Amino acid sequence: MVLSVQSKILLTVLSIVLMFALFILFYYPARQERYLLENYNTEIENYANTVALGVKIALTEENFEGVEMALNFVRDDSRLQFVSIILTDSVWNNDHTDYAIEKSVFKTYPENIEVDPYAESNDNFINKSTPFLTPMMNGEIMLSFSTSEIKKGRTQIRIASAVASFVVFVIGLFIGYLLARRISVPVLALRDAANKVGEGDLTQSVKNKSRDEIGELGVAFNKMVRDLSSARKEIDQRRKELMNEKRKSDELLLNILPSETAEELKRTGKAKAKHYDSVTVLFTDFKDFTAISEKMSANELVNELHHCFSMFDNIIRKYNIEKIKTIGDSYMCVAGLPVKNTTHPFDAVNAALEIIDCIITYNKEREAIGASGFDVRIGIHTGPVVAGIVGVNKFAYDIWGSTVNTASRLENASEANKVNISESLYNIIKDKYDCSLRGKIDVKGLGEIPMYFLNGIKKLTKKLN
Amino acid sequence: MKRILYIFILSLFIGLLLPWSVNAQDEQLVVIGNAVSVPSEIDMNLLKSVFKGEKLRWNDGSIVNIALMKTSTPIGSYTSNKIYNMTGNELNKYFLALVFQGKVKAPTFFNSVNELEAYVAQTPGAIGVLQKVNDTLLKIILVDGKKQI
Repeated sequence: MVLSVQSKILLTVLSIVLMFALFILFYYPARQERYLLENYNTEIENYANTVALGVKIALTEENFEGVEMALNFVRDDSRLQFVSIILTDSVWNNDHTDYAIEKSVFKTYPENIEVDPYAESNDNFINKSTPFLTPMMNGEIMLSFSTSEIKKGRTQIRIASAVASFVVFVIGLFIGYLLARRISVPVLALRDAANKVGEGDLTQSVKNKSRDEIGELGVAFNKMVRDLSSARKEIDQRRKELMNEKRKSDELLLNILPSETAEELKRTGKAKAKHYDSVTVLFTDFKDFTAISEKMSANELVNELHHCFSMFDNIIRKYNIEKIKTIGDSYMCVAGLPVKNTTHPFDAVNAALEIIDCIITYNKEREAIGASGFDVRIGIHTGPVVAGIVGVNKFAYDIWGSTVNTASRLENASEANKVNISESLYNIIKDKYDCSLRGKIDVKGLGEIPMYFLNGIKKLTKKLN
Repeated sequence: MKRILYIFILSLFIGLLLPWSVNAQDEQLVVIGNAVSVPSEIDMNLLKSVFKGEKLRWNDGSIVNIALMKTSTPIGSYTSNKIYNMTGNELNKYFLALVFQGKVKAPTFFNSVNELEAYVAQTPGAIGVLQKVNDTLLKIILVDGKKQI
């Protein structure tokens, strides 16, 4: 059983109060009764002594004032049972070798009481004797007082003790409750506040009404919570900054890596090369770029490339095509990875058509300002590749395989603002797209392969004518 | 010379015997009383009753105060014998018994006549016994019509 602080304090105070109450209830009355009895005995002895002295003076000095006064006091006492003059005589035996003291009653007040000169005290009476010696009479004064007053006094003491004990207990209980409450309430408030702080609520504070140790604890607690709150705000700020930086780095990473590959690289520290059975590789290249570039400054050239490739980036993003790299004025991208899909041939041809449209539009804009435009050649091929990252620095996601070479060769064999596709791709899209057979064209390293110009979507054939 | 010595010894003997002869002749008692409350004449029986504590108040209601010479004095001893028919010790025991039981106010005992006379003169209801009265202003109580008993 776990006792609360309040219960412990209350029990402690109650224990002390209970001991005190028991002391008042038992020890104190016993002590008072003993004092009462002693005082009673002393008082009776004093009476007996006074009367005996009065008798002695009366018999020796013939002055009865003392004994009269003493007896008046004694007789006026309601507790008096009797007062007697007991005569003591020595009675020798016949051989006169030993004697005994015989007592006889000379006079008793009140007269009607039969007094035993040898009577001892008992529960009902206290008998006290004081001897006196005079030339004419030896004896003792015997006083007997009733113990009824003692019993009455004892009862009163016990009642008073019981009442006092009860009052002390109640007051102690009340004080104990107040004390326990005064200590436990702030402690419990501290506990509750600490629990809430533990749950993350750093707005907690406790009210301090006292300046004692508990009050100091409350002040320290409030300071701790404030410090924690400040620290957490600073941590949150740092975390936001960190997240921002992470987001930036992720964006940078995603710029150079496919998201799935980037996640795999972040998760495992490396990305395995992966084989894809079917992807569509798209190459673009600006026709006569070298000759055009010689007419431009390097900055202007780069700006133009950046503008065009940015347009390409926006187009292929719409078709979920992964940009691989740019090499000079060449732009390489692939559809169908890193997440495999079945629409990659269509995505690639749609993107190629849109690139052509975009370049034609851009050329018109340049011609309008008197600048020369760029003609773009596009080659597309569908086939298997292996994709992955090589090296440990400057990660670059790349694809390898004959499909890449074929697509590159198709681009080389293409014409200005034309999309040159392979037979494999043609066989896939021919139902939906209008294509023109170019025949078999010899390309380096592959020999003669059939090629097709992509004219456009069958419904939109007129557009490219 | 022998005659002178004889006369001296005789005179000394007579001188020694003279007080006894005087006491014997003067063993007559005079009862005195306070001017207030105490009657001027009483009979012997009443006198004994008063001195034994049997009569506690005078007719006017005042308390009887008995004044006696201590029994250790000749007059006290004589008074004890004459009025109480007791020895001094018996008288003391007698009054102790009465006083103890609250029946009487004990007599006041004096060492000298003057003290007794002054007490009787100043204490209402006081009555005392002397051999002879020095204070001529004191009230002498006639007992059975006589000044001496």
